[in-house]
Amino acid sequence: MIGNLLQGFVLVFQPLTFGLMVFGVVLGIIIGAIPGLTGSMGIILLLPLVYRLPPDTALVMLCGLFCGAMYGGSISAILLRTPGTPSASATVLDGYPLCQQGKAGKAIGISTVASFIGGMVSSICLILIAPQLAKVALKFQAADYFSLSVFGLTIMASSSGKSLVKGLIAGWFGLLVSTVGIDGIVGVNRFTFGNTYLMGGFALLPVLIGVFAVSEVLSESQEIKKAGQIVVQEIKGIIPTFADMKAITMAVTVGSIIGVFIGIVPGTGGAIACFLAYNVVQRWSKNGDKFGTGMIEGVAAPESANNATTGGALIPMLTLGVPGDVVTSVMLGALILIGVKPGPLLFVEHANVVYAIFSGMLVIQFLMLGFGLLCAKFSPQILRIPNKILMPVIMVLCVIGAYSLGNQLYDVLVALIFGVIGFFMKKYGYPGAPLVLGVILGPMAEDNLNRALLVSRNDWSVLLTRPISASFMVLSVLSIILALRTAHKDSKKAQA
Amino acid sequence: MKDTRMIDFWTGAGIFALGIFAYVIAGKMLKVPIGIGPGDYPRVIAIGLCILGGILSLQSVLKGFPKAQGKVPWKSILRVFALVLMSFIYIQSMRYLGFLITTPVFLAAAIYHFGNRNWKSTIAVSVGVTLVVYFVFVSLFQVLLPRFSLF
Repeated sequence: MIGNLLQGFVLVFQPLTFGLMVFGVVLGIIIGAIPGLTGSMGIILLLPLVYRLPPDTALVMLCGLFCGAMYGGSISAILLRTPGTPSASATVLDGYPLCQQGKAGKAIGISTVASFIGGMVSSICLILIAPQLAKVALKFQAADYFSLSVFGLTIMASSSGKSLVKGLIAGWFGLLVSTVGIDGIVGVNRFTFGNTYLMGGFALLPVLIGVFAVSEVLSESQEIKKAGQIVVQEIKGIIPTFADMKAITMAVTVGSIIGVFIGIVPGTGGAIACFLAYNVVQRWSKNGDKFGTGMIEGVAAPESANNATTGGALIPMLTLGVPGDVVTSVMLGALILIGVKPGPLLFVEHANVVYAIFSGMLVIQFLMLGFGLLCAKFSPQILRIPNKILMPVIMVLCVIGAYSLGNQLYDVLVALIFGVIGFFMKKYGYPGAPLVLGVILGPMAEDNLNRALLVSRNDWSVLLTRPISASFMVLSVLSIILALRTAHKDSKKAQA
Repeated sequence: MKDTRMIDFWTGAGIFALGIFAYVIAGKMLKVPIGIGPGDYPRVIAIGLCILGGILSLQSVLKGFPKAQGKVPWKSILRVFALVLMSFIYIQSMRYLGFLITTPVFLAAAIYHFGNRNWKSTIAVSVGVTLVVYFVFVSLFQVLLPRFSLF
């Protein structure tokens, strides 16, 4: 493994790869810092570039963007009281009060260091866990893959946000979307209505571009917004002192551990991890009652947690082909596009890609720390980029991203249609993540169930007699029960 | 929080109808003796959609029969549809007029739509971005962007 990692470092430090990795991190920080732009949108904007790069270089760049965006969200959370990404929502609670006290530099410094530590912990976990999980996954058969995809689909329930039913509707709609086109086994047209374009089905990337990028631009166009109030104070005292580091040790440790675990669970992500870490650290801290007034622990916990989800989210994507969160689902689409199929065989067939990601993730954390601390002084400038210029440019980049997939305007129209669907989903409380999970996992579930039944000659018990498959089925049932209980509790709370 | 019962009721009904529609179409697909046929899986999804759509409508009725609420935000919806229409015309006209002609026009219109009233910056951004994007994608990434063609 060490040899492979060293080879990964050799690749990462090649001029093109290193340059693009730096580009990814810096762009990620900028994208994350601008409210309304997210890591998934950043990856979407880079897709035309991804097509033309070697897979390992492309992925390292995307990982840089992923980590950079996760960290960048904290900048606007601290300076504007508006989280740049949903993953920085909990950072607002103590970050903005710190800014009001004239300690914006300190808050950004703590956020940078906590993000670095969370990212490092998750990268190390990725390196240690992923190869072992891939070894287990190599033993998977069709029935196991079906059960795994069912488990992934039940996660829809947990990622449903405020309404379980709305989340499930989004997910099942995604499943229906995934069935459009020629059936892979018998070759029958499904829901194509004689349209030759529909015979190829809906490609994943135009759907992702629509749901996550175009919908965002449409959302922003609802009204002409005035620019947010940007802090005019001098950003100073960025480097945390020894006393600061001592004060945040517990918060960073708890945040990192929670982040890694949340990241590994498919369908979750930084937004859940940051609040969970914030709540746990608040409960365990001696100064828990002062949280919300500008405690550095309140910045460190969510920031370490959200960056710790990055490596965690890559684990199921690389080893099982199941995305850990929205950004990794876009990455999964990009991987498939450049001819790399995620799953256990990735570790055998494209070991260079895997180890480049591992080594790259470690280097990225240092780049993020360096750029974060060095550029903190200029961070308010990032927030001055006006949305009224940025959004139309993003729309053009979305058009090109969808077009360059297959050089056809049909894909651009698909992106626009799904943009409109995504806009209404967002407006009326339907989460986008379950829709994407449905589109990704739907074909995986159908193909593997069919294969399992063909091999077992229609014996459905194969789903319960194989230990791996049975385990995933049990996990699926538990996941549903948990989601129902949470929904029940939430509705009781709402009634009270 | 915004009360969306009325919209939820009709969305649920729409999802239910979509489920029925998908079920009927999938029911006509080929049946196979072993494994699952091409229509079986979509039918399961269709049933799921019917159930979920029904639950959503029922929930909004049980919370108190939905009444028309407040004003529909027509202005913001119209602004969104104006952008969708602009984008649609942009995509369709790109087929004939090409990227270089349509993009600055679309960008200028969209920047105006987003509230920028400074014509100098609008023209500079729309022409500048178009040229940079064209150079980067065509020269560096070798993406074949649509060109002017009447046929």
